[in-house]
Amino acid sequence: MPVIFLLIFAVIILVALLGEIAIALTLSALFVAGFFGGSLMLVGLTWVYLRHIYNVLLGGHTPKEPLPRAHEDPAHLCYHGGPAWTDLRTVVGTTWRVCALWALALLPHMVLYLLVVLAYQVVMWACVGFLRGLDTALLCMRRVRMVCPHCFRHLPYPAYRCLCGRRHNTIRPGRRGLVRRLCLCDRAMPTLLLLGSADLSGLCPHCCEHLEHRPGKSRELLLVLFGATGAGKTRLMNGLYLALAQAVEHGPRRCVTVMGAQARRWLDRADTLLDPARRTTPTLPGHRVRGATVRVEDGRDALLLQLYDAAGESFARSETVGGLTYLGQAHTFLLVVDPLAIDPVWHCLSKEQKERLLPERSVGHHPQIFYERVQEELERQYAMGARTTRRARLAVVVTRGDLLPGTPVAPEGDLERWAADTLGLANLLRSARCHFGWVRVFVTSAVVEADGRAHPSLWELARWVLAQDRGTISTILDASTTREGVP
Amino acid sequence: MKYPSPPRKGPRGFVAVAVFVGTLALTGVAVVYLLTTGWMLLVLLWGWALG
Repeated sequence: MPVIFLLIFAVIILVALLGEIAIALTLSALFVAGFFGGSLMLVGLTWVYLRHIYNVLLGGHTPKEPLPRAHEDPAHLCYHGGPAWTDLRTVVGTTWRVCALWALALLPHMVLYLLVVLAYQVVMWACVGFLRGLDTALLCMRRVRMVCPHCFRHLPYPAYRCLCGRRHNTIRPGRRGLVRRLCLCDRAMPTLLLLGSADLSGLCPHCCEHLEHRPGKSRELLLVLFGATGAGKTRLMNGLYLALAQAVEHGPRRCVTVMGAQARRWLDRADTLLDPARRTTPTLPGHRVRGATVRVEDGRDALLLQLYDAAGESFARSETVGGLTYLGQAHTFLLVVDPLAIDPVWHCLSKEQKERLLPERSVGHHPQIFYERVQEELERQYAMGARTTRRARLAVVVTRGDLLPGTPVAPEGDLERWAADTLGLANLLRSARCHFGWVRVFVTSAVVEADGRAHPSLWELARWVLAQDRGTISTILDASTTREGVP
Repeated sequence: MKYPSPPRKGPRGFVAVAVFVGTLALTGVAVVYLLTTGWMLLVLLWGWALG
C-alpha cells in the first residue's frame, strides 16, 4: 500500500512539474511572440503614419488653401498662419481612418508632431511680434506720424495695392507673411517699412484714396492756413513753396518735389502767381479741401509738408469749420490777416491811399472771428485725442506787407506791439498766447522780386514753419534768410 | 478670381523633417525597449518556472 501511495504521489508531482513547465513554456512563447509581434506592429504602424506625413507635407496631397474672405487681404497664408494646423489635422485624421484603434499606439508620435508644430508656431509668432515692434519703434524714432491728405485721418499704417490691382489693407508681419507676403497673383510684397513697403503704391485704408507721397518713410508736417476770403492764403501758400524751392537750389543733394497731380496744379505756377501785378483767384468754397503735399529732401533726410488751404468761407460758420478735421491733426497754424480789411486800419488811410489800395482790399469779418472759430474747433478736436493746444504753434501772418510802407499803418519796431496797437489785434494775440504754445507775428509780402526770387519775408516765415522739425531740413533756409545769403 | 497656387514648401519641409526624425527616433527607442524588456521578462519567467 505505501508503495502505491508513493507512486501516486510521484505521478502527481510529475504531472504538476510537467504542467508548470508547460505553462512556463507557453507563457514564454506568448511573451516572446507578444514583444516581437508588438515591435513589428509598431514598425508597421509607424511606416503607415510616416507615409501619410510624407503625402501631406511633401507629396503634394496638401489640403487646399482656403480663399481669403471678403474682409481679408488677398494674399497667401504663411505656413504658421493656418496651414501648419491644417496639415496636422489631416495627418491625424487620415491615420485614424486607416489604423482605427491601433492608431492609439501612435499617440506618442502624434504628440511629438503637435510639439513640433507648437514650437514652430511659438518661434514664428515671436518673430512676428519682434518685427512689428521693430517697425513701430523705427517709426517712433524717425518721428513719422502719417495723416491722409484726403480724409485727414491718422493712418496707423497705410494700405497698399499690388501691381495686379488687389488691395492689401494690413500688410504688416502676421499670418500672411513674416518679412514678405505673396499676393494671390504670386507677386512678393515687403511687409516692413524697413524693407521698403513704403515704395509700394499706397492707399488710405479709410477713404481708399491713392497716397502719392508714399507715407511712412519721412516725417510729416501739417501746415494749416486760415483766415478771411481774399486775405491771401493761396498766395502765401505759393510763396512758402517758392521760398522752399529756391532755398534747395543752394545744396547739391537738396530738392523739393510736389506730390500728386492736384498739388502740382496748385503750386507749379507759383512764380507767375506771385507776380506783384497779378491778382489771385479766390479758392472756391465748394471745392473739397485737400492737402497739397510737398516733399523736401536734404541728403538722406526728408520731410513731407502738407499745406491746407481751405476757402475763407469754410471758416465763416461753425458748421463748416467742424468739417475741417485736419485741424486736430496739425500743430502749426498760420492765421492770415489782410490789414486793409480791418476797418479801423482802413479808416486811417488817406483818400489817395484808399483809392490806390481799394483793388487790393478784401472784405470780410474781423480776424478775431476766424481765430475764435478755429481755436474753439481746435480745442474740441484736440480734446478728442486727449491733447492740448499748448503744443501747437500759431503765426499771425499780416499779408500785403509790400503795400503798407508809406501809409500811417506801416509796420515798425516790435511787430507784436504794432499788430496789437495799430491793427487792433491785442485781444487776439492775448488769447493766442493763452491757448497756443508759441505765437509770433509776421508781416509778409507774397510776391516775387525783380530777380524772380521770393520776397525775404516768405523765407523768414518758411524758416519758422520748418523750425518745428528738428531734423536737418530745418536748416536749409538758414543761409538764405538774409539777402546776403542769396547767391 | 484666379485660384491661389499652393503655398510655399519651405516651412512645411522643415516641419516634415523634424516630425520624420522625431518619429523614427521614438519608434526606434520603443522597439529596442520592447525587445530588451521582453527578453529580460522571459528570462525572469523562465527562472521562476524552473525555480
